[in-house]
Amino acid sequence: MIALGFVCGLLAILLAIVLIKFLRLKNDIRQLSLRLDEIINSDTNAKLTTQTFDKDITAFIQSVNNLLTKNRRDFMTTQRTEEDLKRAIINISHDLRTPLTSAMGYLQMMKGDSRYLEIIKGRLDTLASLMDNLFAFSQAMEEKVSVKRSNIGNILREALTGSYIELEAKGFIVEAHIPDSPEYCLCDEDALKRVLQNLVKNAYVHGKEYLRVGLTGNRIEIINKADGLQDLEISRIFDRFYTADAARTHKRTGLGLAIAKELTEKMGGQIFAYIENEMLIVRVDLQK
Amino acid sequence: MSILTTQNLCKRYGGKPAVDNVSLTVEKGDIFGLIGQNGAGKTTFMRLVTSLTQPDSGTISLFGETEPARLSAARSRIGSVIEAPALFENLTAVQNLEYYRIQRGIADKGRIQQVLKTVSLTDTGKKKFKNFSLGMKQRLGLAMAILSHPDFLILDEPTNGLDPTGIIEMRDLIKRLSQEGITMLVSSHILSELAQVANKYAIIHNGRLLKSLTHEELQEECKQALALTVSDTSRAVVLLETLLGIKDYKQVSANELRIYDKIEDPSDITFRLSQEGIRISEFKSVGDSLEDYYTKTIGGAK
Amino acid sequence: MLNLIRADIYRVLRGKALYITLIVLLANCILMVISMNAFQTGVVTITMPEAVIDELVPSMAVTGVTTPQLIATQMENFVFFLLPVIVIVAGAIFSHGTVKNDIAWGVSRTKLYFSKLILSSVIGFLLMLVYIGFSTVIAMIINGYGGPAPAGHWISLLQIFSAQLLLLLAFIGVGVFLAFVTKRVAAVNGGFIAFIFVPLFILSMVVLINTNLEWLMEYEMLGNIMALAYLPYMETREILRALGIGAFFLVGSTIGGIALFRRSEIK
Repeated sequence: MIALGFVCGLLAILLAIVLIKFLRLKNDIRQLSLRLDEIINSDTNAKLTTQTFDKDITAFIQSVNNLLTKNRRDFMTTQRTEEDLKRAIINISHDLRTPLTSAMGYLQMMKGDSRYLEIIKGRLDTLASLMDNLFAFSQAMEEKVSVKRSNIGNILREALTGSYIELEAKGFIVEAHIPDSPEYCLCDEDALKRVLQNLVKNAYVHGKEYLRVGLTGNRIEIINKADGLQDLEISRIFDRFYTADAARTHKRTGLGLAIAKELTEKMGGQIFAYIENEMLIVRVDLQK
Repeated sequence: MSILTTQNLCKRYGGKPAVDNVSLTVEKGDIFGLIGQNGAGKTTFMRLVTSLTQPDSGTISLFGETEPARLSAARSRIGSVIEAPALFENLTAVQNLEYYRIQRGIADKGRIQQVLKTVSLTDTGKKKFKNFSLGMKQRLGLAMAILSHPDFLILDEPTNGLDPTGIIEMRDLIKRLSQEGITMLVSSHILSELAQVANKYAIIHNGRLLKSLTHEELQEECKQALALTVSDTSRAVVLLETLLGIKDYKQVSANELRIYDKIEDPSDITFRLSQEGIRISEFKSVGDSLEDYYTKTIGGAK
Repeated sequence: MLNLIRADIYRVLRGKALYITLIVLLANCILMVISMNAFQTGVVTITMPEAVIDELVPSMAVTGVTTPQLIATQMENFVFFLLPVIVIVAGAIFSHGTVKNDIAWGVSRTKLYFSKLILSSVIGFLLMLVYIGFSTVIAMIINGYGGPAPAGHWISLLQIFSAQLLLLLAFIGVGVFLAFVTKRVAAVNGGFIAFIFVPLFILSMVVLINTNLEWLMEYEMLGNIMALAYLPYMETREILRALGIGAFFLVGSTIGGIALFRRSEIK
């Protein structure tokens, strides 16, 4: 009888040990997937660790960690390349500006009303504004944006007021639907102002007649008449340097919209553009 | 998201403040240099950040976390060597690292050889930690700190006790680690050492943060220049450009110019200018060495 | 926390200190068994609050069966062997200063304390088994097994050792407390030995002065360990008292130690 009791006891202990080991392995694996999600979604050097040092789990972790290391290295390389490129762009646009200014200066001094002089001046002007755009864009990419909850209704009104005169001069009908009650969203005031100014500018440079600005909740919509724009072109409207205007010589490039996109996304928001009822709608959704 | 932000951090020992209202921020990718004399509060500051000591007042946030439980979890992303590196005296380099490898759940055994290679400590064999030279101890301490792939490294006077070769190696190591994406906070009492690697500086004295500046700002402050106080700045400027071919200059105030180019022969500049009728009421050479700048900053606080 | 313990096991096994302690323990066992064997007619002094009883033990043979019981009466001698265990496991992180590496990396101070306490207890327990087992083996080599054991012999031994284990764990608890609160090995050594002797010393003085306070002696640890060797002969009240004191010191030192350690400065 005692022997039976003893054997039962021993079996019970064995069972308990196996059960505990099993549960710990399961727990280890669960922790691993949670941790892996965390690592993937953040900018970190961290690797997976184990609570059990089980042979098979350890081997698996090592493989995953190798993958993470490779991923990290690629990421760092990409970052460095981007940094170098940005630096190069800033330097180039800086360096090119000086001889350009010089050339324009000498041009001014050249007396003569040759048509060709006018054309040269025009080309140099375009080059200069291209350079400015490039510089502005690389600065927007570099820029650090600090978000806090602000009343975007006010910011919207300020941005519009600034452009009102030019809009009137061009004969635009301007409609503004901004609620009186304050709407708070996460944004950087200066950045948002620039986004709005760029969008409004884009509307009156490339559109005509009609501009409508609306604010609902965290969504800003800027609507103007789609001046012969196609759907296909809309999808590329935020691409850098894209312009839908065929006569590319004297209109600005689409960098203004690219800058708007960059800044919006930096604030954690999203920007869309689509055509509805022959109207071009540019929509900015901010984080609440 | 900053890596480390402290606000109004205070710690007193007895009646004396060791860390007095220090607020600073270390951003991702920085090599942040904390400079101060011995006893200025650098080590105490680091001990506060690593929770070895509790602050009397003020806040610390690491990786954006301030809440105690999450702060604790965030600390596993930090590696640190504070004051003298402490490891088990009776164990070898590999054994010491193995201890921490097991403790931190690092699956890859090869990681130990990896970090030893990084710090150039691969051939200590059976030598026990107690028989290491000071430089070797520093390096093993660093190896332990980077063992778990930290995102933030806190180093307290890492070049302490190293010979000149060791100092250069340590500097290279710091640069290499930074390129792997590790943000660093390094303290030293020698500004010139940190000036080779850091991109941001904070000068701390008697527990107070006297000045915090970027590398570019430091270079500006320490740039060698000729400072001239003249009667007619606009004319002087035109003369500098056309007559002397100097383009590298700055107008710092209504009557004061700073010239950075061709300053080996200041008398030539002054002569030519006065020949043209520019009256110079004062000229002097400015631009501190790093140490002078540091001494001046500290002296100003007294 | 398991990883903390695993790492410490690795470290302790790679050092020399544990092995030295083990060897000294084995030597101690051999000497003890031999001397017990040599002086077979022994006077066993049982100190109990009511009286001091000198029992003449008529040539008790030191055999496989009888040795465990004899070891139980010598348990106060074993307490000293817990000190090196505490110093090796818990004291080392302060003497080498490595505790700052753990804290800075984010190891919870509570978990750190518990991991050292648990490992010290496990090693202490294993040493206790060696103390009992090895001595019994030596005795068996010298005098043989010693015939069939009386009924309930082993069960009563199990009870005795379990109870004594609790008190030994209390000693470990106090030792770990000293390690984490004083952070100096010298203080741990001094404090631990003081904890063993001083209460007895003080209480003896006190009782000499005022015999009415004799009941205080009941609460002294060492005496209780020795008393437990006679567990089957003790009243339930006395057993519970002994276990209660053990539990008190174990739990009290742990709670106090953690509370103090959490607020302290790490040098």
